[in-house]
Amino acid sequence: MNPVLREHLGIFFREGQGLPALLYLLGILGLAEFLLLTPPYLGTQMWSGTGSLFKICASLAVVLTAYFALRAANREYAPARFKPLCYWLRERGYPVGVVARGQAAFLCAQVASSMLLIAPLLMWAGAISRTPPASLAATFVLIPFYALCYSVWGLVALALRERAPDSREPMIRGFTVMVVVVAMIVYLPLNPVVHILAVAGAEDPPRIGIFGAHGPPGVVNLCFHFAYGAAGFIAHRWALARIR
Amino acid sequence: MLGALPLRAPAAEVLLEPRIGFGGVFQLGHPFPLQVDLNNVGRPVDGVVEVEVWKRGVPPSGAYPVRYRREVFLPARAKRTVGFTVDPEALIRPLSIRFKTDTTIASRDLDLRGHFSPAPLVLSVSAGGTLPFTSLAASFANRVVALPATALPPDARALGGVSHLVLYDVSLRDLARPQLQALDDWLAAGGALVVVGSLNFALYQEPKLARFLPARVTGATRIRFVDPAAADSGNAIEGVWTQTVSGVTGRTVSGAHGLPVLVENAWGKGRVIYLALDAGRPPLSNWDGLPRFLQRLLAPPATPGTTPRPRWDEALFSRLLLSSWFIATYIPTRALFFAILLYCAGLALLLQLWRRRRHAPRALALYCCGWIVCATAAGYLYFSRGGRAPDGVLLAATVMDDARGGYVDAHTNLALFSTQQREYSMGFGPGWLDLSPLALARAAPGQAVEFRHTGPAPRVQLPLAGWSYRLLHARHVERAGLSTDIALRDGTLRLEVRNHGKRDLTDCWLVAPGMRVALGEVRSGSTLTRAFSVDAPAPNGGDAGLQAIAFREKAHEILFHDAFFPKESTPAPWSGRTALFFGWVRDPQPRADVGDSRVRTEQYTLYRAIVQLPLAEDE
Repeated sequence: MNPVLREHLGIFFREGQGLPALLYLLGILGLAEFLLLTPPYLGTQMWSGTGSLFKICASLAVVLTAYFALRAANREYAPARFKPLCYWLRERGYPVGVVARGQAAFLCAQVASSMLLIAPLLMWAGAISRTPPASLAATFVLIPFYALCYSVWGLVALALRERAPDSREPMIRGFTVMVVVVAMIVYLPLNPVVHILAVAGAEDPPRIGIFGAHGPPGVVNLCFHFAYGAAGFIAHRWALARIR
Repeated sequence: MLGALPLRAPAAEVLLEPRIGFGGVFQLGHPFPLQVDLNNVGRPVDGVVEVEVWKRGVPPSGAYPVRYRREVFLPARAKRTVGFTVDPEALIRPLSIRFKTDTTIASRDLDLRGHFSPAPLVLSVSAGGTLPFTSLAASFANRVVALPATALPPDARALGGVSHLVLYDVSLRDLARPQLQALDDWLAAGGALVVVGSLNFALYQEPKLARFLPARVTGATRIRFVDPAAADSGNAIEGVWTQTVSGVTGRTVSGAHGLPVLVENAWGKGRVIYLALDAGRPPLSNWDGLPRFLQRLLAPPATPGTTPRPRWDEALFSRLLLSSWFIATYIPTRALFFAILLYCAGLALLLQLWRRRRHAPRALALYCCGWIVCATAAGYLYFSRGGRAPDGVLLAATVMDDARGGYVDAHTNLALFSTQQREYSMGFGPGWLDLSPLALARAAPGQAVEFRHTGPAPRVQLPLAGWSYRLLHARHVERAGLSTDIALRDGTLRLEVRNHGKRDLTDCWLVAPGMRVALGEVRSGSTLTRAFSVDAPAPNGGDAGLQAIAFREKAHEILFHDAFFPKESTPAPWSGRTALFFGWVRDPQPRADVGDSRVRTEQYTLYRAIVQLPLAEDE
């Protein structure tokens, strides 16, 4: 097994340092799902609120999964327990590819475990909302995809400013928010929540022109996030190479 | 003229020839019969006849099409007539008739603007002789249409634009059961049947006609007839043929030589007028005053006591949906709470095992994955199939107004709520007179309503998106076996409620000026008789009394105060000097059915009788 991945998994799962992220995710989503079905919080919209249960839960899940994955990638849980990157690259002399693959694999494991944990809640919400199985499946694919695309930039931030955690956290949060807002301003369907809402509700995403052209919103969204995520992985390698 | 020519569909080889209304005329704003003659001049063909008309609708939805469909098989070289009852509102758009097969469409558009009459029609049904309606006074605005008895429609809705039906010297023996039922329903809903006597009195003894008559016809004789309206002039007609009757059950308006000549009887909200004289034979048929005399029989009834339609809109529907019973039908809140709790408890147990380090991490990871997979699958199956969550909920809230003689005029507020994207097929029982979809704030503009004729009665097809609903209003007239008499005499208010129906009345109340009395139950087959002393009736006290009435069930509370007796209804027929009796029908019979066990149906029915009390000086 990749030594970086082994170390990360050991700290995160065997020692339990990453459990708070998973428990917060489960707690917030479970509470939100239950409250969404509780009449006093919905008022006169109660009758149709159930129909939106899966859409709301899925959009909340994508935000939470990406957020906690970003924090995990940015080493915000038990930072002192992890060995610094220069240790792997310089002292142990591992190639950049090994370290990059180890960190990326850990990120995938974090996202996968998050998805596994919240899968029952999402599936139940889908059943209550009578969501078509195709929409359910698409949502289960899109949530980890978006989470990886956004959280990989946490790895980039870690590689660039490993020794300055205090400035790194606001920097990566600000950068992510900026990307989301700018993308939304340029073309609303680029927003992952907007897209998830459309997919989970088995509806067509909003068709809005971009510079006069009307492309298929779903394809544009996926291409954008694919490019954004790929850029993150390339930047991560580049930043690791700088350390070496 | 060109429009009247039949169009030929080259591929299907089917000719369409429509017949509109009664003799090509219908009353504007009311349903009318449409017959489509299909003439197949080619090979056998299986297709669908579709008629499309437009309703005006109300903003924001606007105009919407209503389609009537009937599947038809036409053998080679065969003719067939297909009947519909159509109800267009917007005559600017033509009525479209299409015959569709898998490969071809034959269509025809009809401009209805040349066919409507603003006034109700008078139908004259006569076998042999004719009545001199053609010489009615110019002030008589109604169009009189003569037709054979067999041409009477089998659907009461088609008679909606008819004010009077005149029967003379005719046998109803050949009428089919649906035609008789339609006649009965139309009468009960406010129609007027005028039966003019004939020398052939045996026709009037046939059970199908005799059941409508307010007297039993025994024979015929000649009398000296004096028009009651011109009795002062002393002009009399000798030797007029009249029917002799016995067992008069109606009100004798006029008579001669001890024989009833004109008898009236109430039939639900409508009336039956029986003229014993033979107006189609000499000497009466030669009388100059006959057209004017007959015109008096066709006078519109005194202003009937109309009650407003119960209120029904999205705000009210949303309030009903918030009732706990409705929420429980499709939202498994409690089950979800326990499911989340159980799932978290399982995870907490695994966490505890992991902390004690008694199991290998790999085994714990497997347990965890197994628990999550099991919880996911079990929960999904339970909430999607085993949770008894319906595909939809049909809510029917009916208020039955007493229409005399055991008949009720029932207005039903319908709401079909769907959790799935699917089409629903809604059927209505006999006596169905009207169905109007209500506009929704979020409805797609122009959403069609489709009536599909697959059996004896048409079914309404309603396609609904997931988590959406449709509101409708329906009207029935039926014999419910319930009747109420309220009379104020000598300072005593007497109430008699006869429940000869199959259902009990519960939570019954009597509300009158200065009086509000809970009466409990009136069981099926029983009669409730009470008398109350009315010492000092307070003006308008009845209306104030309604608002103070409370019910245990929240749905009853909402329907009673906001739908059946809305505060904003002015002038409310139950306000002022009126006495009101009402009671909830226990386990009411379904007003509409969706015919699908996956659709839950909830019925609420209130029976009420509103009686105008006489003023003090009238007493």
